[in-house]
Amino acid sequence: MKNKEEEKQEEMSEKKSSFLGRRLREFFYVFTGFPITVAMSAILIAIFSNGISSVIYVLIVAIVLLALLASMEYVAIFEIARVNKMLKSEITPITTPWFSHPFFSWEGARERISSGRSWLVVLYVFSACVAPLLVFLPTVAAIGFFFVWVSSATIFNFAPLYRNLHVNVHDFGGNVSVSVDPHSLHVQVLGTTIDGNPVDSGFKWIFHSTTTVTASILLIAIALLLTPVVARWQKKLVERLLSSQSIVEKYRTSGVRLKKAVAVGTQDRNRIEKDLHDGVQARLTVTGIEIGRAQLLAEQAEQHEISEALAKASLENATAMQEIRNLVRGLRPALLEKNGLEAALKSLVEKHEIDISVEVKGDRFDSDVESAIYLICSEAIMNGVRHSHATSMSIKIAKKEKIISLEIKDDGIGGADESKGTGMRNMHDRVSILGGDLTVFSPEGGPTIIKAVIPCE
Amino acid sequence: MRVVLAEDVALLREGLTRVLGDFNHEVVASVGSASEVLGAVREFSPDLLITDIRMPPTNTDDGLRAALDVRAKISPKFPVMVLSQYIETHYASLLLGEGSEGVGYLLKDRVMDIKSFIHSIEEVAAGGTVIDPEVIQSLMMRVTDAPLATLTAREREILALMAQGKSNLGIAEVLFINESSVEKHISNILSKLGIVGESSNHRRVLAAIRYLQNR
Repeated sequence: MKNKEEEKQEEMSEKKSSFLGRRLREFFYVFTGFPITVAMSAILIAIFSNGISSVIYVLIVAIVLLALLASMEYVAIFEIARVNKMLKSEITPITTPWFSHPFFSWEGARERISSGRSWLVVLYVFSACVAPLLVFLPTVAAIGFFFVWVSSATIFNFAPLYRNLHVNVHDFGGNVSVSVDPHSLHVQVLGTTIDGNPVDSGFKWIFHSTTTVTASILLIAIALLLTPVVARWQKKLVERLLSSQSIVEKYRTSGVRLKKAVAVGTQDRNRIEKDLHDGVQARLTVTGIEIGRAQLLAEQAEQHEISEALAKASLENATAMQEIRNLVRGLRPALLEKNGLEAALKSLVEKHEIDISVEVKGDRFDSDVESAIYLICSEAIMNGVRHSHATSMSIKIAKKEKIISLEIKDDGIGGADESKGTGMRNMHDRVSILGGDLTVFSPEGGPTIIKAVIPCE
Repeated sequence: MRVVLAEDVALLREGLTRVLGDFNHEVVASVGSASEVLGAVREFSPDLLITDIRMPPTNTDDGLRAALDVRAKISPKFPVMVLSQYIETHYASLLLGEGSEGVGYLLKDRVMDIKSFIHSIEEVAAGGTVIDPEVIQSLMMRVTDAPLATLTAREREILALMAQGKSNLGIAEVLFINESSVEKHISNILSKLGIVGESSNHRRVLAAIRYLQNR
């Protein structure tokens, strides 16, 4: 209360004493304010106008660059399809999409810019237009020569009025004369420019029919000779820069060695499975049986404490058996070996509580391929349940010509990061060692879609 | 009871022989390969064949094939108890496909509960059917497959609990409902699966069999 009254009194006194001073201060403030704010506005306008345009320019460049990088997967698909269709080659198609994050997001931008595969396609586009020139140019030249020869002969024979054609180009101050005879064509530019300088530049073309035809044939021959070399080179470019096989190429000196490596892996798994089955699993079962027998004896003797202790031992033993079973299961599923992918996968999904549909089109595939697909599905289901919190999944496998395609979808939360965890890397390795390709599309919020293609005889 | 035992791991063969011996069941022949099974059954004409699924020569499902072979060639009701480290509903379907009389399919772990294992093999030898609860549990998870799809969520829940061997009272306690409504649900389940006029003990097994045979 006191303070407020004091403040009020002070204010009142100040108002009275400095009325003139206040007006003066206000005047100077407003007067100097004009040039200052104008100057500031000017500077701001200058900065804004240039700045905004340059910011917009940078943004546009960035977006265009991003869009180009983002579209590279389609270029790769198109080019691989073109090689396969036109050369009847069997380069394994690639799987897309390459990018999980949306285009207009920081992660999306980073993903696209840092994508090695996109830059490889850029490199491909630039290097792929060089060699075809060796075929394209001679062909176009040959066609051009041939066309001129045909047209001059036609004009000479069927349109005699146009044998000698003079076109006056008034502005130019000269004329173009074209004269035709059955063997040659003269095109000449004669005259003077407006400045009075005479023009008789080398515009004098002579197309002797025989020379023209010979040149055309020669050029076509060159083009045809170069064609297989160029085609092979182009195909190699596609293989090296676009297909996923390029990754495999780095590791393999021959396809045989790679096959062997896969086979050795399978053999190892089979051996471990057999060792565990005949060893640990059998021993645990026998231990369980003996505990069970002891339990019966204890019960008969009415030794309840012993019986209870044995019941605990039995429970631990059963848990150990279950753990070993889960471990061994994926190593060598008997159903896979005997009945193929469909039976094995259907059995696999039965073990999970979420709803998983399995659709397999095609009978039996190469055992290494079957095993890889089985293990990938197993991994994907585990990820779907554990990390994606999926409630349903679908697995689709189909064979078309010599390509097996696999698609695993879930309705989970997405956001799977390929760089984290070994599971995804294993998936990639399993596919690429067989010469295939695998992509994981998993935007935040889901769904997660895993696509793979694997070549198979 | 006279038994032919097919199991490739000697350790397990001996263990099983001891267990059977405890209950005065005689192992008249034990073989370590599926290819010897039919011969042994022909030679000794036992009351029961107990066989492991994974056995030589291919170490996949040879034991199962041998059991089916015995039933096809010797008698369609020849009692077989098939043991395995894994439960596959696919195998259960194969086993039950030609008739469920005298068929047993159990996880090897069940042998550890000796009394109930002996009870199971005696039931199979007498022409009964014993299916591992895990088979039924697996089936419960595949709710999209007909005819289980016709069951409501609650009915499926109850069927799964039945499969785990729970009594009507036990089911009622788990689901916090009274016993009479459990009974009502169960009769609905059985009629939907087409199981009528059987003793209640056998019902859950029959529910599974009906499903597996229609697969």
